[in-house]
Amino acid sequence: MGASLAVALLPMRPEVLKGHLDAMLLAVLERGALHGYAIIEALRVGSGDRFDLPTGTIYPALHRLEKAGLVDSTWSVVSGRRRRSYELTTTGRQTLTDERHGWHEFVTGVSSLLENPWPATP
Amino acid sequence: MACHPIIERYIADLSARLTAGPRRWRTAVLDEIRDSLMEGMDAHAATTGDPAVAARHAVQEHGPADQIASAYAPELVAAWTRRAGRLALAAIPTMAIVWNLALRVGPTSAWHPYGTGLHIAAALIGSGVCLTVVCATAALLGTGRLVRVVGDHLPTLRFGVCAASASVSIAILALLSVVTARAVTAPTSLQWPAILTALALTLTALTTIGHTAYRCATSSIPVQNHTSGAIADPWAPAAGQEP
Repeated sequence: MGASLAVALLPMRPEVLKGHLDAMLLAVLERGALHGYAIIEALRVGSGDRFDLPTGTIYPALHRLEKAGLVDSTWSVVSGRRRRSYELTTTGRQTLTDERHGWHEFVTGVSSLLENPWPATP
Repeated sequence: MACHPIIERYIADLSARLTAGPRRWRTAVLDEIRDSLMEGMDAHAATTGDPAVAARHAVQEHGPADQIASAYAPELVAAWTRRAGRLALAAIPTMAIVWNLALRVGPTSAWHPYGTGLHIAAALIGSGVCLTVVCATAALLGTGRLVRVVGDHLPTLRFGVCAASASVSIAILALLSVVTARAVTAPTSLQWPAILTALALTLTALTTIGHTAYRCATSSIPVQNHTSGAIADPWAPAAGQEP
């Protein structure tokens, strides 16, 4: 019961993922330039198949990051098809570092509350 | 591997829902999605061996066309806002050069008989240009890299760029009123072929600015969910799916 409830409440719900998508995309691109489908695969594999997003919604997020100057995109032609690849900018790298720091702070705070419940007031 | 009809149908469906976007933006979006779907199809074909099944899987993973189109709505509005801002800014030097040339090639004579009218027109042109520069520049910066610093203010920026389009149009109309007054009171002072050419360019500019501002103002496009009438949220679980 506990295990199944835990699975149901894991932060894999789309509305939970949505708030962290930008940081996850930046993290996926940290190792180098990737095209859209490779980014989606990296998100899936990197999360151990836990994240099942409608892949079409990744692209508007990537475009938003590009507008913000956090990633750059370049077009190439592969197998006769136009392909757009994305890579982190220097600002994107710095933002990823900041996001990581913020995430660690958040996780530490939430973990200390969830794993060490506040003692009941006598 | 050639593009499968299932994928082409999906792309056509999506294309029909993104008609409000600038053509170049739309082409880029659809090219990127096609490549992604083809990659997905190739990956699934390696395991299923059936191209039709693989194409269907790729399309399902990508998400329903109405939800995907909905996810592009803010980007679409930003694209029109940027285009309207660029047009409004570009119109200022363009009109200045065109009318400067058109009026300089004609015979010269004094403008003082229209002193008051000229002052009013000059005030309209000056204030219109200033407002255009401020609003259009803010819209371009706010929908560009500054979004990271100032946050997302797309509705305000869209209103601003529409104000910029109106301001530059008023400035151009004020300029035309000056030329019209000149044409009525001193027709021989104008070189008519040059004036008519400038007029044609001006009307083209006004039409383009007006059309773009209209598309910008009306392209909010929250895609309606055909079954419930609610605005589709691409992050919401599909019907019947457990949250």
